[in-house]
Amino acid sequence: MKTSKSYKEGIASLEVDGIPDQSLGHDSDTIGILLSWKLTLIGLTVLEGKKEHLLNLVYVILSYSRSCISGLPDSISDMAQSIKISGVKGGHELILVSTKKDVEPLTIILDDAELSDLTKCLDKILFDRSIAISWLVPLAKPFTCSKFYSNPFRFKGIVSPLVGISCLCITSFVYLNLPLFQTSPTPLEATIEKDTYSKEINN
Amino acid sequence: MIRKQSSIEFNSAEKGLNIVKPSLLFGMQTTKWRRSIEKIDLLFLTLEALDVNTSQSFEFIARDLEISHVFPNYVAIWKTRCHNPLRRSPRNSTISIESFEGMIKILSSMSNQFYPRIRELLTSKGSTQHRSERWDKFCLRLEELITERMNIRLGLVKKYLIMTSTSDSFQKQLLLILALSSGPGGIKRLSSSIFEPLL
Repeated sequence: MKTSKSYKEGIASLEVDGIPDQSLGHDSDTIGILLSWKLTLIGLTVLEGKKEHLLNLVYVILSYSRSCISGLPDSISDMAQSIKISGVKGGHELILVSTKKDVEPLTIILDDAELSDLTKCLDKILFDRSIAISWLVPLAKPFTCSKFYSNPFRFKGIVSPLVGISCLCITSFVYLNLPLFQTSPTPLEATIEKDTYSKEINN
Repeated sequence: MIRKQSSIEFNSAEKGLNIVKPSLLFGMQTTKWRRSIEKIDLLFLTLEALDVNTSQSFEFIARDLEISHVFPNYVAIWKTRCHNPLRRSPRNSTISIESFEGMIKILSSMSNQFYPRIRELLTSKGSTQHRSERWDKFCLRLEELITERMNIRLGLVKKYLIMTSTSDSFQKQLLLILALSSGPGGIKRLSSSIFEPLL
């Protein structure tokens, strides 16, 4: 009745035990109810837990891998803050907080190859049709453009237009406020003006 | 940063390979499209840098993936790759969605095939001497391929060459993309990130 399955990739080896969910009409090879799981990271650690822990681990690792493929290794954790992964110098830091009391959080540093192994191992269980579990993984969700193009305020960028606009305003102000010079008419101009007046009278 | 878990529910019953959504392909002849084809070609070059004979196996992979109608021979794949505007002699014609999806499928499948070799280059464990020898060989080959195939007068190609010669992070990023693109989950990750900028 109990079904065991194992998935291996590089340093990662995942073993799951479970039973088919008869109420949903699963066949004998299908795991609908996950009883236990054990993830062995060769040379690093062995992890065990409940179904929720595996769901959280799959969510965190695959979400992080998704951000790594985009070149944005964000810090990602689950809702309960029990699993957290972030990029550090020379690798990826995975922090696992135990639900048991008096147990210190476990910190594992994975290099790129180990992260790929773990991702591929978890991919295998995710794409196994005989595991009838709903995974919550944003595997094919494209990122928004704003994640790639940060637009911080740069003072240097607005200095040149500000100086330009200020110069224009000052120049305009000065020219508008220049006093008008009214020179006295020359003798010739005075004669012309006089003649013009007389012509107008004659007309 | 905490993300909501209820973003997308991935049901095990819906595991079909819907690579690229039609909505994402809206406006193919734009910056998005150009960026994606540049990225695909660069990833192909990275695969070629891993093994000299990689290009010969593209045709067999296409046959295995049952996309021979899109890529009947190696030349068809090469022609599609030549849509990259950074190439020495790029093609200006439009690329079909089938060809685009086919390229992603081939890339993911090739990554899966070359995964052990990619892993060797990415690992920080093992003999330092052997690792550095392998790494130097790979970097040299990648640099040669970029110089040989790309138009080195273009600013972006110059940037690639500077990055390959000054640090290892660019090559590591390319290898990590390939490593995470392999397998059934990898193809989904790759297709959802293909329109994103590389640098």
